[in-house]
Amino acid sequence: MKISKALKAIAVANLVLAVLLPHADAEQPKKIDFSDETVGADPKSFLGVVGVWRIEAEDNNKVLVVDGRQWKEGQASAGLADKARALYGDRYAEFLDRVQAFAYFPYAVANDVSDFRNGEITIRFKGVSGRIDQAAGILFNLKPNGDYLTVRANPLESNLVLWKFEKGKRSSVKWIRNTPTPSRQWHELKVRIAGSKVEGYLNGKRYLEHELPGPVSGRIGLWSKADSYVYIDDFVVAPAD
Amino acid sequence: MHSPDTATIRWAPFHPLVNKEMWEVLSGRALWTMLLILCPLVGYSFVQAVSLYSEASSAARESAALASGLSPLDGILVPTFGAFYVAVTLLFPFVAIRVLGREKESGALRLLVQLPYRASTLIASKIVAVAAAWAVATIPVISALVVWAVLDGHLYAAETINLLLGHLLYGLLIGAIALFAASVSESSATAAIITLAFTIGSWVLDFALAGQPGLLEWISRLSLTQTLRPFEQGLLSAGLVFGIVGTIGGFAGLATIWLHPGVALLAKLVRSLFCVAVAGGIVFLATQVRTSFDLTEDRRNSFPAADESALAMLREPLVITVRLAPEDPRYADLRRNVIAKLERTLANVSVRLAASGQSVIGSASEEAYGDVAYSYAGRSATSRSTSHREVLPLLYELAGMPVPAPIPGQDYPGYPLVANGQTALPWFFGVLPLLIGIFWWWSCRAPRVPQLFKDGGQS
Repeated sequence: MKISKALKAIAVANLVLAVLLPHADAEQPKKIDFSDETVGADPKSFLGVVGVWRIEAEDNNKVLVVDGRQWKEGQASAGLADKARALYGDRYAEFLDRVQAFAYFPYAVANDVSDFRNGEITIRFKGVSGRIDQAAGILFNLKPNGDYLTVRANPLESNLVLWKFEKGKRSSVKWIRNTPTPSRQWHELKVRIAGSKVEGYLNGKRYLEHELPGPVSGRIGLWSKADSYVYIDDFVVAPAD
Repeated sequence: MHSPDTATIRWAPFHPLVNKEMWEVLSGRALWTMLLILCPLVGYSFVQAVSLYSEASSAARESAALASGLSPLDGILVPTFGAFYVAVTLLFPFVAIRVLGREKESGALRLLVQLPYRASTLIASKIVAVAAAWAVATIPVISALVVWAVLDGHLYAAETINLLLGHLLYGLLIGAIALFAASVSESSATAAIITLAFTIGSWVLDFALAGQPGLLEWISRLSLTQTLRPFEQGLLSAGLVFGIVGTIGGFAGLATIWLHPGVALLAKLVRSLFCVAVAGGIVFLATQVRTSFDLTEDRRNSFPAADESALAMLREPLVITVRLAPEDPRYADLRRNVIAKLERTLANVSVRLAASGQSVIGSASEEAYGDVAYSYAGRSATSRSTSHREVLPLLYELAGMPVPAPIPGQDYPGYPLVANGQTALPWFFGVLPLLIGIFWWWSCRAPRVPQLFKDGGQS
């Protein structure tokens, strides 16, 4: 009788473990909200590879800021963005995207994620200023030589783009128009990766879907462009395996 | 018509001629129209700049580290002068062309060249008038600086004067090109097209060629707008100033050669070739001058003082081999953070771009892309960093020197300011245009050629 009870207990325990173990194996989502960082200092959770990245305070909330306001190298001239806007109207941003002189792309790498292959990466962002760009992007598939992919939103252009960088040269992989992201408002940007499949979400809505030639593998981080001055908060990494 | 040779042998005082040119400029519509357009342009840029600066400052008030990043040069001066730059590029040529073009169209030039002045003196007086017109055109931007000071904003004299100097040289360059265009053209319209071909052509160069490697990069440096960048960064480069002055002199020389209607075309072409050769030589010599001064208050173009002193002791050639594409942002950061400062500090630095196809070491492999190799005194080391905090210790190690201790108390405090720039809108959109309009009306009543004959023009 005692043996029978013991067998039953073992069977129940096995059943419970069978249900719980897969969840226990999966990595828990990792959230970086910058609350333990120092205002005015470089972030501890990210390594700024290109550009100026630092912690700032918005009201009582600490945020990570990419500050391109002092970027000058490669900038064609003062007021050139305004001239392009006057010449090309709403299409000026797309025009500037093709101008080499504005090809300055700050990025920062998350220190604690050495290899991301499957799952979701989410950020909140707010475009504060920037006359050429106010870009906020999620960087992934970062290789040791600096090649990477990024999905970025831009309040100035209201579009969502998957960019590919190889040896410092940028090319667009997928370009989605009409994704409203007004400046000076918080938005949520999410990338979901399953092997070689990439999906881009903005404020909970899926806009972008693309199949890459190979599976994603590498470091992850944040991305921006040119003179963008953008607040970023709540960087959440949820690996799927 | 009077022979050109007889006109050059006589002498007359300079100032009546300058007075006449000044009144020509001041009595024309072009300058005042430009001023009236400048008021809202500069005002809007200034108010926008103050608004953004205030927003950044509100976050910085609680953090000294964050405040140190707030410099009025970047936040206020450069954006405000940006509107001025656009106006000078597009509108100032019409002001400068008028100084000569009107005389050509009316036939007055044929009389002018018979006065007892050399052609070079005539052009010099017109350059002085163009400089005076530029000074008048700065009224809106100077008033913006005054408004900034009234709002309790900080201005650092050296970087402000340096920026003004840059815009003065740029304005004179545009003016000299316009004078040259007016001297070779029969009508002001043609002169305007020629001048705008230079200025808008510069924008095309900026758009199309900036960031490109090799010959295209060299061509992109011919853009006129490139001349302003160092001044906007707070750098006073002796070579650049020398080069701009040489170019202004070259265009003024060409204007002088083409001014006199009585000189044969072949003679003008031969003299022009000689003038271009001399100006080209001056510009080439200017590119060899590397002396520059960091006039910014935050010393952004320099390494920390302790490092500058230590680096000054390195006498051997330093060779930096960069395995990055010129358009790679990491290269932009490396240039700004490390290479540009090393070139200012060390006497002998050479940079090779391995990925540009011009390297002596061949193309970089996939894995090595991003590497930066430093060779000094027969030793070398490699790093992927674009920060001087990592690169300088590496250089000290190569040179067998200890890392210098930082000198305390040299931190830039920053100048955060929360101000309401909107209060300046009535000034730029109402009061200042009204004052300019009144002065325009007054200047129209003034005599057009008041002093020329009174003060010795007949001598």
